[in-house]
Amino acid sequence: MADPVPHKARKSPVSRRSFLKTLGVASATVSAAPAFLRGRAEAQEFMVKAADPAAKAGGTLRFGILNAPAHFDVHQSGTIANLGPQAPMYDLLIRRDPRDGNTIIPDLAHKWEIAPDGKKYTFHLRKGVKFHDGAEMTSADMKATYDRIVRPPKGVVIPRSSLFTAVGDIVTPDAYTIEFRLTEPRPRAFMLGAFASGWNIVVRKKTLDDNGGNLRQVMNFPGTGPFRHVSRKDKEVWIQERNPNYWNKGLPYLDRLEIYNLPPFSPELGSSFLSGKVDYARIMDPVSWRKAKEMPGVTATAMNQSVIQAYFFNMKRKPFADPRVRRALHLATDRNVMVDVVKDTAPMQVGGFVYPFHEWSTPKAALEKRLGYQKDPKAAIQEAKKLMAAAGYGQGLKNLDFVVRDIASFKLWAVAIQAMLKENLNVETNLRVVQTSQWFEEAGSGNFDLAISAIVSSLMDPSDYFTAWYGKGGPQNYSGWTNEEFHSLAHNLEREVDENKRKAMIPRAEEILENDPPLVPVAWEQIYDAFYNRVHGQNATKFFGIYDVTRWDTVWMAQS
Amino acid sequence: MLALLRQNWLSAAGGLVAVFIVFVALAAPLIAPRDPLKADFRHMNKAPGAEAFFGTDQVGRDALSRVIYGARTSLFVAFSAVLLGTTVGSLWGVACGYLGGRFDLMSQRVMEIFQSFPDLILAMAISMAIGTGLPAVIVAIAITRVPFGGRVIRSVALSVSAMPFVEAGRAAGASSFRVMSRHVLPQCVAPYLVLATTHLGVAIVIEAALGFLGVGVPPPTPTWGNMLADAITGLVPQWWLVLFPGLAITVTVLAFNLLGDGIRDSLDPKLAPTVLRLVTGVGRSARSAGAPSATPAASAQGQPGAA
Amino acid sequence: MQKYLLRRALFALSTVIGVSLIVFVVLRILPGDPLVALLGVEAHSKMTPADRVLIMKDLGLSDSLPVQYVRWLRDIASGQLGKSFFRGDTVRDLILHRGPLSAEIAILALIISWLVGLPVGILSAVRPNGWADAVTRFLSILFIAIPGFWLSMLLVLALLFWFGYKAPILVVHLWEDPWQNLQIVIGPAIVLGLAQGAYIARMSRSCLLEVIREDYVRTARAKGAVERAVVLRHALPNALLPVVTISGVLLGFVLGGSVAVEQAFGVPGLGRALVTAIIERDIIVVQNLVLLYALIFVAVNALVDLSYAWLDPRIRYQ
Repeated sequence: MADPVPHKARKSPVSRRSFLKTLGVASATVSAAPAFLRGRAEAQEFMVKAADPAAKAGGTLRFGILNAPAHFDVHQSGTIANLGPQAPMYDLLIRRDPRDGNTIIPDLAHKWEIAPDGKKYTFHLRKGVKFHDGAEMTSADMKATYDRIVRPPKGVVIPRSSLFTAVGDIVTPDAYTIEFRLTEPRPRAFMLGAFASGWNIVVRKKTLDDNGGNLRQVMNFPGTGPFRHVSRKDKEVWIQERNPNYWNKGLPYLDRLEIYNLPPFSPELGSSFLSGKVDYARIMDPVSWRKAKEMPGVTATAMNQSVIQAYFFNMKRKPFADPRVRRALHLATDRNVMVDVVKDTAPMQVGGFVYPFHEWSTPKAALEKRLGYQKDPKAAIQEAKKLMAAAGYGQGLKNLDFVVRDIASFKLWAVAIQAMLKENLNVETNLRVVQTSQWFEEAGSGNFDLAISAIVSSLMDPSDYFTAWYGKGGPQNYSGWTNEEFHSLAHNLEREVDENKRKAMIPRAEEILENDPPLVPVAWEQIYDAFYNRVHGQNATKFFGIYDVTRWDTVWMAQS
Repeated sequence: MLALLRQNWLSAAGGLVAVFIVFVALAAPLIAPRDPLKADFRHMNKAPGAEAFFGTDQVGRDALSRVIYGARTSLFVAFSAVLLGTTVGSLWGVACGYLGGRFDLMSQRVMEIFQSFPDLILAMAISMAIGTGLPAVIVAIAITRVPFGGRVIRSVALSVSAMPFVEAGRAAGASSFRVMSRHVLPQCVAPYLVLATTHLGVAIVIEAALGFLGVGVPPPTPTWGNMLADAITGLVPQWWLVLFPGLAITVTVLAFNLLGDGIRDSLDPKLAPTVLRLVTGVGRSARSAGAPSATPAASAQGQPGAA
Repeated sequence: MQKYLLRRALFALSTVIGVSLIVFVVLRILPGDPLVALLGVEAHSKMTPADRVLIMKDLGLSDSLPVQYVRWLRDIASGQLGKSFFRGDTVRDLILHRGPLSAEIAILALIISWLVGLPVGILSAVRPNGWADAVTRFLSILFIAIPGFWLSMLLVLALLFWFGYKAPILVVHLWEDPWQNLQIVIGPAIVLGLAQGAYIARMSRSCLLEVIREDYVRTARAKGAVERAVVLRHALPNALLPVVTISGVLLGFVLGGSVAVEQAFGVPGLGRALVTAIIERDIIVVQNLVLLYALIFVAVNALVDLSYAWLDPRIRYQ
């Protein structure tokens, strides 16, 4: 359901029709839709509008989300602290439809073509798009943006660069066309998903040139987005106003955005929403969210987030080199209890090694029957004990150094895991709580036996996180895990363009991971949103994660 | 004890409570109804009731048992930190007061430097720098106690040094060390005791505050401080997880402070009234000689703002 | 007196320099990587060693310690106090924006401590060892014992529960909206003020008792003055001085103590900024804020000493 629609559209005419319907355009203008729909050249470019034709202009939206950004360079960021307040000021090359969170639709590129061999992507840019400083946006700016994302200059770290490893030359035949030439094919859904990622905001070439390619300390660099910067108070609020010269006439509907820095799951966020100080709250704590749900005139929604909470093994240390020991720990960790332990702290759901809500993964009902995911953990523990005995650790393990990030949910889990491992396998751990800044030092230098943290991916496509989390030397493979069969499977998955063949590879991947765990999945994050019903045009239930749709251009307020 | 009881029943009560708390800490395994580390995932977040008088926490551990065992860790941290910090500080102070001169001057500067840090921040930085764990917390708190011991006992030593019997000893040709250990040191014992009792309370509060700020004793070891820190995980923390550990801290600190008061009052007032006033921070004309410094009264206070 | 002043100033200066050296060194040996907070955990995990070298150089962290220290001194001299690792804001702006809240809390706490502490102290002293004395002494010793941050937690919990308390989300300065501003600062001020008030009460009680025993008070009493008049007109003014000085010193403690209390109340003051900066390893911010706290502490101490010296000529000539 949260799968990107394009490849679905190609597969089945039904989905394709529903896609067109979602676009809300008559068949005469279908050609405005992406080239993969095989449309004719367009008469009129596609422009997104609010789903409700009664949408009204005007009003101020007060949005509560996350801490202040650590810097202002969105490309270099990996946190909603940047996208939350900054995304409304910028546009992308192509984007996910804000009305359903999934469909890929035109943005600054009004149409595109993909070469049949999947090795060339050509995007046609809109004309007359202006940056907030008045300069026109051309393919030179687009190229500068993507040159930077694909191959960042030294000292600039862009987490999404890994999505574009196949991109070779980026050329601009004219001021309104940009071509990406791939060195080897990639699945289309993967590539389009990468281009539509909310992180790839389009910036001016001049901005990059003037600042030596680094925007970390440049607070208000010009974008083309629906909102313009007005003022910012550090760690408090970022105020923006409607961009009157926005290329999409009639948008945005809101006159003003006030984006408050309220930490995730914090009482500040919860109470600010419940007392009506903000109209829309994101990443709420479960207690406030449940209260909000019962309030009249309030809608509370939940969505899936691209984050797995897990604990890692130090594979360089002897017991964990044995896959049986790792599987034993995996089986002895009761995931249903894990979700329950933090139910008042953070919203979580049970899942395994791949996104539990992805249509390719084992469905929930089947997963619940699998060892290690059952409501009754007895059978799993039995099996875990056997594995430990077979590995020669029937007596258990002692004095394991368990490094824990100093965050409420990790501390609670660590205590629960410690109790479970002790009780089920006689594995004794010493918890070492360190601040986040230290956790990564310890994990990076291999100074731990077990370590608990959360890791995030950019795309729902397995090819993204299979590389980052489970890849050989992958940046988030803190266990230092390797498995040749898995690596070669992941390699093929990344290059296979046939979606059906790709899908067929997933069950085998899951099987490998279950038997030779690179980490122990603890839980999968969810995001709790709540908003007063005067806010229209944002229904976050189907969003995948919070990163791709945060522009507020189609959101409007009912006048009261 | 009887005299003390008649003089000051409040302090006597404080002393009794303090003894009781120390007893609880020592006999924790006998008193605690359950294992403080035993998680029970079927009874999480239960309000106080017949089964668990203080309720259970987010992983189903018995809060009462944790408060009881918490007394162990909290008192152990506080006792060790004060023993280490106040003792080192006091010995240093004796040396300063007796030796005087350049040594005294330099020491005074160093102590003043350490006192100029907000002590919670100093303890936080030190405990992070030496690494998390019980010893780190103890050393961190101890270091913040050193200048207090140093400055107060220094003043005591100064005034004692000027007393006729010490002058006599020195005139008789006794060595510095001998005079210090035979004549000066014994005079400092009483003020040291008062100081140590007061600072015991402060140390407990700092431990709790460190736990609250996330740099205290690591879980799952219960201390009153990290119990409080663990309580705040949602919008509205469970009241029993906030109330009981905090009450334990308050009662303990109160008991030790009352005891400290009592010890001060019961000491022979003819001995050196100024000295006693110095230590307890009560008195107006108290004024140390030598290098300029904060009013000793203030330095001797059990730092009100600690948390 | 001049010589004394000079000597006092030199001592203060040496203390401040000592503090700056210690905080400077401690921050640089602290484990933990500031780049985690700067880049975010995801980008941090994808950073190459070459990137790290460049970014550390950018932040000025790859220079030798003496060079970094001298740079800090220059930043202090320029009044900007250096830039935070994050967003490139100057520490000066941070202090100007958040400092007033913490200062207000400190001053309000001081006022509350006097309003509560002094009457209580007088009440105790008028009939020492009476029941009122016992109660107030117990209360004052109780408020010294209660950890401020715990009291804050209880207050916030109670306010949340009964009044739907909303934590402040914006810094509101006194001159912008006094009423909103008061809502932010009043909680921490009361918590800190009560603890200070307990000290004031103890101090004023014992000072009054001491003065009352002195000759001129006895004379006044012998002349037949009413007890209340004796206490208020004769004893109190004389007993006040040490109380004033101690509350000067307490002010320094309030600043330090506000760290945890601000955290508990969620007040966006300097204390909270300091804790956040320590956790994020924003060492430029930490070193400047700690120095600021130390400066205030040293200045208050110096003032207290000077007032003593001014009143008591013996000290000047030591």
